[in-house]
Amino acid sequence: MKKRGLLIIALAMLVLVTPLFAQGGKEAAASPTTLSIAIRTLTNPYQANYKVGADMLGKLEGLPVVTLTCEGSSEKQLNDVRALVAKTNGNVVFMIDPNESPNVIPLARELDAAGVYWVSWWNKPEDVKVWNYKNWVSHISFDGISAGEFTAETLFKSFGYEGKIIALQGLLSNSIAQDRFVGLQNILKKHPKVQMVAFEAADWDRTIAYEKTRNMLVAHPDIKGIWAANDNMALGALEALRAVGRAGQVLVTGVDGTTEIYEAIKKGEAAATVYNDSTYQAGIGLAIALAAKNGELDVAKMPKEQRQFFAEATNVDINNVDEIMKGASSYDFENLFASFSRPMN
Amino acid sequence: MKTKNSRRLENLFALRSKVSASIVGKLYHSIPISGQIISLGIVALIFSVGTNGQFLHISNIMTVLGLSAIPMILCLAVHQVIILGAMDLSLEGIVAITAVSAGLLLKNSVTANDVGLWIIPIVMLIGGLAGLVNGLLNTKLRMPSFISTLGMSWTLFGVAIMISKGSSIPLRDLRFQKVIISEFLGIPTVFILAILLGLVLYIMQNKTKLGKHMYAIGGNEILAKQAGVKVDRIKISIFGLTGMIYGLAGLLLVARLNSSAARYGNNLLFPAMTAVAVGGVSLSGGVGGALNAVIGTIIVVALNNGLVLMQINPYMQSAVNGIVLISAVALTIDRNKIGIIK
Amino acid sequence: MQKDGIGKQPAIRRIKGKLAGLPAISYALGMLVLFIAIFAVGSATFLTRYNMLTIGNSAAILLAVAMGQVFAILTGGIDLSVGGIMSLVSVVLMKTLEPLGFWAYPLSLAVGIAAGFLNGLVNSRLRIPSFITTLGSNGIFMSIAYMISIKPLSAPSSSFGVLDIVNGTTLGIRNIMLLGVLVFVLFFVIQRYTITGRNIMLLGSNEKMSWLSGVDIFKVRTIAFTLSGLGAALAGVMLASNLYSGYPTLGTVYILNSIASVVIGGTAMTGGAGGVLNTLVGVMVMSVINNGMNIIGIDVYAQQSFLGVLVIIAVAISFDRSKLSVIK
Repeated sequence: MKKRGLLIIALAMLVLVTPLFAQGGKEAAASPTTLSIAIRTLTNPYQANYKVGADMLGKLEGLPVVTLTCEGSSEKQLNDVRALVAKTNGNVVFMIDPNESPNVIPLARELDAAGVYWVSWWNKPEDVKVWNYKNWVSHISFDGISAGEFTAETLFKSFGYEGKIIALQGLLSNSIAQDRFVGLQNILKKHPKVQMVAFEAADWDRTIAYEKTRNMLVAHPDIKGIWAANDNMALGALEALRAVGRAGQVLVTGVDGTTEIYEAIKKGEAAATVYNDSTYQAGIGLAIALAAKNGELDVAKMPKEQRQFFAEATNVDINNVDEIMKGASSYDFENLFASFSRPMN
Repeated sequence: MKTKNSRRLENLFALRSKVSASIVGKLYHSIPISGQIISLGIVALIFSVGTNGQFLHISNIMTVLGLSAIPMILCLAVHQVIILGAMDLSLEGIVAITAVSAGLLLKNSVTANDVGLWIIPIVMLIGGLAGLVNGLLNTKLRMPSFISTLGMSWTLFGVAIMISKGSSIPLRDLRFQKVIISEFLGIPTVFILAILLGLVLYIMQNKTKLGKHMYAIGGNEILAKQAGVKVDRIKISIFGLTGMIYGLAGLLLVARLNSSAARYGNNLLFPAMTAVAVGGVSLSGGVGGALNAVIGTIIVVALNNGLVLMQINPYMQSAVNGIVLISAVALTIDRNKIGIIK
Repeated sequence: MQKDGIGKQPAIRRIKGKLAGLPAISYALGMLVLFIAIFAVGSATFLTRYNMLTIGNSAAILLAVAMGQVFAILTGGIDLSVGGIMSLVSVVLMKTLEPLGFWAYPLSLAVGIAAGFLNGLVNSRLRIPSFITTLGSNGIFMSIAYMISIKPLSAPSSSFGVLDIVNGTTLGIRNIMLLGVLVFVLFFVIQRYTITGRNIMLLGSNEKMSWLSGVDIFKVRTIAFTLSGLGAALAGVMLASNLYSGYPTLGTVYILNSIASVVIGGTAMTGGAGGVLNTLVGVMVMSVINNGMNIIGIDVYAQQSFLGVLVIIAVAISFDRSKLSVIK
């Protein structure tokens, strides 16, 4: 028994160790640069549109596109990125939406070591600075506070700035969830007659939002509005209102800008949303990284405000929803910093 | 070699048998789910005090019943397999694929399909086929159901993502949502549906030969086989039936939100398992039935409703769920029937 | 021998001749070689040094959880709380890294061991099935992690040096892989050369028999879950150091992945058969599949299905039915 065990160990070790000495990578240089986006999932429309943007740029530049999804696992995201660096021998650029904000640290160190240029969106710890890394070209985010402020303001206006509301927060561990909530709280302070009587975290999820809203509606049947940190949760809350026969009387708001919430705005069931164009996010992120890779951008000489900045998002309410629904006719991936709104410290 | 612990256990058993012999004890043991009813009573008592009676208000009770319908259907499905002593983790995958199929086949804003009411047999067929595969893997390929159903879950979830391209599909057929919202004599229709399903399964478990054989397999598969029970055939049909019920739940989830997406399958498995265990269905098989599944689900849903009403910090809720799961099972599990605790 | 279906193998395992007598692990090992061959043919970059290091890195973490998990499974139980323990440990590590420096590591490991010990106590003393005990405690550990920090914690840059215990390299090999080897050796020795290890195997194969022969079942079971906690804690500190962060959902995906690796390696879920060595192979199979799918460029929409099908095939081939009368 023991002998066989040892034999098997030896075999296993052999299998594992042999490739360590193999050297691949003869193909490298000639092949075209791969464009890659590393995102969370393709099971929600917002994230799925990243792929649309990446494919769009790929077609424009005639370069291959690879999508990596981590399904909520930070480690998988890191490993998938490593695997692709291996596959392409470093001839790749990334647009990454980090699964959790601190993950940018290992990504930045790994990609610095491999000499691969990349751009991140949304999540980054405040004390980690892009300019401390030579291959991390830019970190871009939409302004969560102003998004929360706009949707709250529009929601309160719908009932005349007087009454009770409830709120649905996103995954509390995401900094963007907290930023948007700060925006809501800022507006609550401005209008003392509006009261937030309850809030729950619904983890960006429609089903959870439905159930939590149904439960909150029992305790607070007299609310005038529901503020949600994204469209998905807003739509869950809307169906919960429909179940108790109050859809259209009590309005909801979200953030993201999905077709479903636009239709709800047109029907008078939702008040507002903020359109974050993930198609553009992926395309422009890759375009910036590609420019650095091709030497069109000298990362070391870029001003700090191009390395970390907030991008402009589109506020949507009943006044402009039709126009937004027509969609952008074309995207401009040439002008790399056109969406700049304000620098991020 | 009596250790201190075994003596302590013996004392405990002696105390148990004394209690059992008393009148209260007899009543307690004559109702199969008395322990669970007491658990529900404790939950209700705590929350009524915590919410100044709001928890027991009729509108809240109806909300709890309405919200418990879909989890109850899922729990009724999965507990069938657990009675057999097997495990079914394919719940999320099957729900995801039936939800997406329902979204694409009903009148929607992505495709031109509109199968109308035919969707009911269709989702049950899809779910049933998936369940059948589960059964075949377990019996014919002799794979442990825990892992074969886990593999099935990943596979089907992936297929669901593929055919929906990851996006959500808004529905244009409002009839199903109307059923979900509607009430019959003040009681949510969807809850009545779930109870009817529970009734059918209860009758099947207690009055038919199939039911008797199910429990025989769950109790001791080798003995059952020796006694002439067609083990494989029954296992396959129960897995199939379970799959059909998942399909139904998938359709209801879609109807409730009036849109469909693969991720509607997420986060359903462990709550259903919790409900099964809290209801008193033994995970080692052969013990518990439809009644247990029904009460287990109501306890879990009532618990989550109470936590929201009392404004408990959202992130403490999983701890409370865990503590209630462990203590409910600790109080109600019948260790004599189960034998070895693994 | 075929009476009551004991030891009945499906067609897929009924290979005639010499192969039929091979132990379960050889099937798993054969599968590993097969997958490596397929991926190597599929892409020239699969067998590069860089990619092997990548596989080794992720395998080391999965290995640590699975090494613990296999002890819980060997007793016939299951540990669904490994995810919660990993998350809790990661948060504790990141929180204490600045004040304690290196000592944050033993502290975090102690937290994980204590968590596993608690599981064992509840399981054996309160006599609650491990599925329920650990399903419940998983939620509790996660909530404790949320209480420590709702936001993800990132490692302060002053502590990067401490984290190099895991992230650095020695003689050209990442430390994390060396740690993986150490973890394997540790658990291998526990299983093969200690009385506890033998008792765990005995307990799983026949609980009544081991009770009659005087084994303290309560103690053995408690130790098995404590070891599972240790494995999860080791994985937690390795992963947290690797990611420079800790947060309350960090370990969730490892619950089912660790169980799948154990079973792919050929360990029976009813306990008693299989063990640490099998699990090593199972972990390698999982890590190779996960990496290989990206390397040969399987469409991202199809990856999850692909993984599911491969797991089913892997277990169908490697699962050892020879000692089992009933497959549940």
